[in-house]
Amino acid sequence: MNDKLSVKIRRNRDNLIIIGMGTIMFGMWSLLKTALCILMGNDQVIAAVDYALGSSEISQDEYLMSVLDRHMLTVGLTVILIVITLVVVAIRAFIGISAIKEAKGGKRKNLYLVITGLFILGYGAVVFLDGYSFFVRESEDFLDTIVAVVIEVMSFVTLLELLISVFSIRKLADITKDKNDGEVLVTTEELFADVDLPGEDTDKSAKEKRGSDKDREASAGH
Amino acid sequence: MQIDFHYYATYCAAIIAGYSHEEAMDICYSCQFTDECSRTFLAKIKGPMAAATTQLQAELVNARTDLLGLQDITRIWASFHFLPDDLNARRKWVTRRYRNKYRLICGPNGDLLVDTVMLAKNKPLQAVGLAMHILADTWAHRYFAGTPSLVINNVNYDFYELVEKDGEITERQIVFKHSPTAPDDVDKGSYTSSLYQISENSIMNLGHGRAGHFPDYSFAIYRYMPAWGKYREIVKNNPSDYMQAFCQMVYALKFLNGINSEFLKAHYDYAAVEPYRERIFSILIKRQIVASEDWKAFGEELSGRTIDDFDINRYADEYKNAPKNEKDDSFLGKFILAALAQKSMVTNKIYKSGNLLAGYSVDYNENGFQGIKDYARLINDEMRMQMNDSAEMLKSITEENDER
Repeated sequence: MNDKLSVKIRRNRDNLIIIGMGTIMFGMWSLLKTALCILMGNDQVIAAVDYALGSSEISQDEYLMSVLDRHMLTVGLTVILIVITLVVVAIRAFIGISAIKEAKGGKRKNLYLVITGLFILGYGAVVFLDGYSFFVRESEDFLDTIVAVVIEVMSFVTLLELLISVFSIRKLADITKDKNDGEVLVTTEELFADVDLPGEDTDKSAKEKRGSDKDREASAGH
Repeated sequence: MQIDFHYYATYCAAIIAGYSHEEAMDICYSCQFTDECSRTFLAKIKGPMAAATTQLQAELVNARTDLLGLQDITRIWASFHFLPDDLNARRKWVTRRYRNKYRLICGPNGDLLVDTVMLAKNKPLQAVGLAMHILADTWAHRYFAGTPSLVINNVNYDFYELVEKDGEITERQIVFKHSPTAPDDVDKGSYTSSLYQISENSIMNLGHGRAGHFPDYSFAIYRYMPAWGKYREIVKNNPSDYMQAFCQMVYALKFLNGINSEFLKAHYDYAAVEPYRERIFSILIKRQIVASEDWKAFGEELSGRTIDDFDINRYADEYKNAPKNEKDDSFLGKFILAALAQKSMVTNKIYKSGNLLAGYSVDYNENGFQGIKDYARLINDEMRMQMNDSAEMLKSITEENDER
C-alpha cells in the first residue's frame, strides 16, 4: 500500500490534478484577456480592419462611403475573436477536466491527449514565432511581447507536463496492476486481527500501531 | 468520540476498574462534560473563561485566527481533544513553522498522556473523568492536530471507507458534503466535512474537520492520505483503536484508584476486559451514528444500576449558587480546577519544547504568578492541598504522640 511505486503514483496523480486545474486557469486567463481587450478598446481588431480595408483595391471615395461596412467588419471580427476564444477555453476545460478525472481514478481516455498534443504543437509554433519576433525582428512593444512569450511558454510547459504525468501514471499503474493481480490486499480477518485480545497486558500491539517516536511518517500505512 | 463512548463506555470502564456506581457516574459525567464546557456555558454559570475545554461551532465561527486567536484555539484543542504524542518529532527539510504544527499531531501513548494521567492522580473524580476523555481521544483523533492547519489536517479525494459485505471488504470512495446541518447517512455513505479553505489557518482546517465525523464513529474503517503523510496512506481501524482505548482506560483507572501502582505507556488491561470482549466488540462494529443505547444497556448490566442520561445543567445551579469561597468545592468547581491544571500543563510542555503555537507559559511556582488571572486559583488550590496535607500529617503525629 505504501511501497515506492504506489507513493510515486499518488504523487503523480496529485501533480496531474494541479496541472489540470492550471490548464483550466490558463483558459480562463485567455477569456479574461479577450474580454479586457474588447472592453478597453479593441486596437488589434481595428488595426486588422484598417489593414484589410486599406490594402483592398477600392477607391478612397468608396472607402469613405463604406463606413457601415467598416463597422460591420469590426463587429464581425470581434465576434470571430470571441468564438475562437470560447472554443479555446472549452478545449482547455475539456483537457483539464479529463486530466483531473483520470487522476482521481476515472476512465482512461485518449481524445484529450491527442488534443493536448496538437495544442503543444500549436503553442510550440506560437512560442517560436514570438521568440523570433522578439529577438530577430526587434518588436516595438517590448513589454507586451515579453509578457506574451512568458505566458505562452508557461502554457506550453504545463501541457507538456500534463502529457508526461498521464503517461507516467498509466505506466506505473500498469506495473502495480500486474504485481497485484489476483492478490487480496486485505481480508476481513486481517483487518480485525488486532482487535483480538491476547489476554494479558502487553505493549506489543501498541508499539506496532504507533511507531512515531522518531519519524512519524513511518507510521503511515499501519 | 461522542457521548456514547465518553459517557456510557467510560462508565463501563470505571465499573470494570472497580469504582462504585456513584464514582463511575461522576467520572463519566466529567468525561462527557469536557465536550460541553464551552465559554458560552461558563459565561452562563459565571465561571472562569480560561477553563473552557471546548469551543462551540458558533464560537469557532467568531474565533480570531490571528496569532493570539490561534494560540487560544490550540490551547483548548491540543490540551483536551488532540493531545500531541511527540512534541519533539523530527522531520527533515521542513520549515520551523511546519515542524511546530507537525509536532502537535495527536496520537496515543505519548509522554503527555502519562503526564495527563499523573496529573489526575490523587485528585477529585472530575480530574479522573477529564483525563479519561483526553486518553480516549488520543485514539480516536490520532493523525490530526489540535490546531488549524491545512498542511497537516487536510484530506483529499483519496478517502475510502472499507465496508464489510458478505465477509469481504469492499472499498467505497467518500465524497464529503459540506452542509453543517445535513446528518451523516452511514448506510448510503453520505458524510459531511468542513469546507475546503485554501487558507492555512482557516478554522475549517482544525482537527479532523476535513475528514468529517469519521474518527468519531467506532465502526468506521477507512483508508486515506493525510496531508502530512508524503503521499503515504493510512488505514484507520476504529473498532480496534476504540477497543485499545477502552482497555487503556481500565488500566489507567486502576492506577488512579490505587489498584495499579504505576501507569506505564502502552499498557492495557486486557485481562479485565476479556470477559466482555465480544459484547464490546459487537457494540463497536455496529454501524450506527451514536451507540449510546447499547453502551448504556451494557453499563447497566455491569453495575445493576440505572445510568442517568447526561444533563449539561445537572450541576450548574450548585456552582452558580455556591458562595465565592466555596465554588471550588462544588462539582463544577473541581472540574474547572482540573481543566485549568491540564491546560496549564500542556501549554507549558508545548512552550518548553520550543513551540509557541499554544502561546507563552511560565512556571508560576518558580517565578511567582504571572499571566491569565483565572490560573491564580491553581496556586490557591495547590496551597490548599498542601495545607490539607500538612494538617493531616500534624493530626497523625498528634495521634501517634497521644498513643505513646
